Formats: sequence, structure tokens, C-alpha cells
Amino acid sequence: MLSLFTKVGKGIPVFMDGPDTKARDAVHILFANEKVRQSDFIPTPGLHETEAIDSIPTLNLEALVRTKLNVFRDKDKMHLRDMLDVELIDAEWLTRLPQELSERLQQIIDNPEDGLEGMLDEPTGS
Amino acid sequence: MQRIIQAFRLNPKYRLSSLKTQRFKGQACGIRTRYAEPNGPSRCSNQEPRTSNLTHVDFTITGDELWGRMNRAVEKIQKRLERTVATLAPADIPFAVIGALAVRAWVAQADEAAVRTTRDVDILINRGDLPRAIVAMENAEFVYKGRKGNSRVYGRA
Repeated sequence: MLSLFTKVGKGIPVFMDGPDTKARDAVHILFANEKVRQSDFIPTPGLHETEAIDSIPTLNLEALVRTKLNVFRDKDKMHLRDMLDVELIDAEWLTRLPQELSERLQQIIDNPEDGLEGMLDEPTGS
Repeated sequence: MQRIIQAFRLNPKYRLSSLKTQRFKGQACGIRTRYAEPNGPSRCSNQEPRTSNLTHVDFTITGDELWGRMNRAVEKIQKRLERTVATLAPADIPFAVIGALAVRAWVAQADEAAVRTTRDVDILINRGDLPRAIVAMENAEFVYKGRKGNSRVYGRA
């Protein structure tokens, strides 16, 4: 049976976790190597940029940081702050990023307490 | 208290459009709200909404039930991820965990105390694999929904 094409969340295709569930009870799908929004600086990562964490293919750290800087919503900033806080990333990363993303990371480093509103999840995936 | 109210306001489940008007289903969610009228009765939102100053939120779910709810919320996400992995991997569909769950995995490498919960399960796949992913995921009782009015076809080929 063909699935219905229904706008869910913010326009990202999803797999609902059963027939009577809410949009937040879903698996959100993003496509590799594509820009999700026209305003994005970079496309989503490729599937070669993964590492197996507990046997589960997971985006590697560099691709994940790029993605978070590219999308850059409040919750992405919060995730970046967490990564800075636990020293997964630091200012040395500035040199290995595209300029636009590097400027965003610098902004996070310079303002560690900003942007703490609107952190609750939105089903947009990034 | 303001932080609690703010948390509800930020949660789209409750649709608090402002502190003056409440629309969330208080009783159905086990939450009761009171308003600022002197000696006025408590009102729940399944009654007619009205404009008033929301000053207090009572939590009627407490103790083990409350902890159970919070734990189930986390377990639900974990199980959804496990079902997804157990579906896509045997179908030979390349994928990667992305988004907040990927952040959790990486942050946990450094400091488990810094790990945050999330309700998002975000998966990266190749567009060309979507038709196969739909078949596999629907066989696992997920229900696919794509985008309306988009020229790209997300449905089965």
C-alpha cells in the first residue's frame, strides 16, 4: 500500500512509531549529501563520515560538529556548548572548518552562556 | 515556579500561548492549573479557556509514577533507535545516527554526567535508498509519512 504524503513536523519525512502516534514519536529522515534548507552553508554529511559506536553507525565527530554549526538552532548551540564543555572540541577546531561555520563556533566560544532559550526539541533532525 | 511555567510554555504539547491564556488539557495530562482570582475555584483547561493570570501549576503525578514516566520517555527513544537499527541493518540500507542521539553518544565518551536526554531519533540515509527503507520500516510497523506538495517523490517506487 502506498503511503500517504503528509506534511509532518517541519517538512522532513518521518517514520511514525505506529499508526496512532504523534509526530514527535517518530524517526526523522535526512538525506545524505543534500542541503535541507536553501540557507544552509553546507549539505548534510555523507554516509562515509561515520563511526560505529556500540556497533551502531553514528556520524563522526567532525561531521556532527559541522552539521550542528550549519543548522545552528538554539538546541544545536546547546549541543555545541556541551561538546566544548566536555572538551570534545575546542578552539583548535576553528581552523579546520569552513569560514562561515568557524565564525559560528567562535561565536559559541565567545558567548558560552547565550542562547539558552528554545532548547526543547523540534522534530527537524540535525 | 517561573522556570516550570516556562518549561510548559516551551513544550508544544501544552500550547501555552501566553501566561494569560491556557489551553492545555490539564486533567487529561494529570496537571491542574489554578488562577489568580481571590478565593476563585481552580479551573482545568478542559473547561472553557479564559483569560486570567496563571500563577500556579500543581503536579498531580508524583513519586514512582513520575519517575516511571520520565524513565519510560528515555527508554522509548532507545527502543525506537534499536528497532530502527534492527530494521535497516539487515536490509542492507546504509544509515547513520545523526542529531541529538549522535551528540549523546559522543558526549558520553567524554563525560556521562553531561549527557542530555532527547526525544529525537534522526537518521541519515541516501535518498535512493528511501523506497527500500519504507518497505523495511513499514514491515517493522513504522508508518511512513513524507512531504506534501514537494516535487521530489518520497513514496515507494
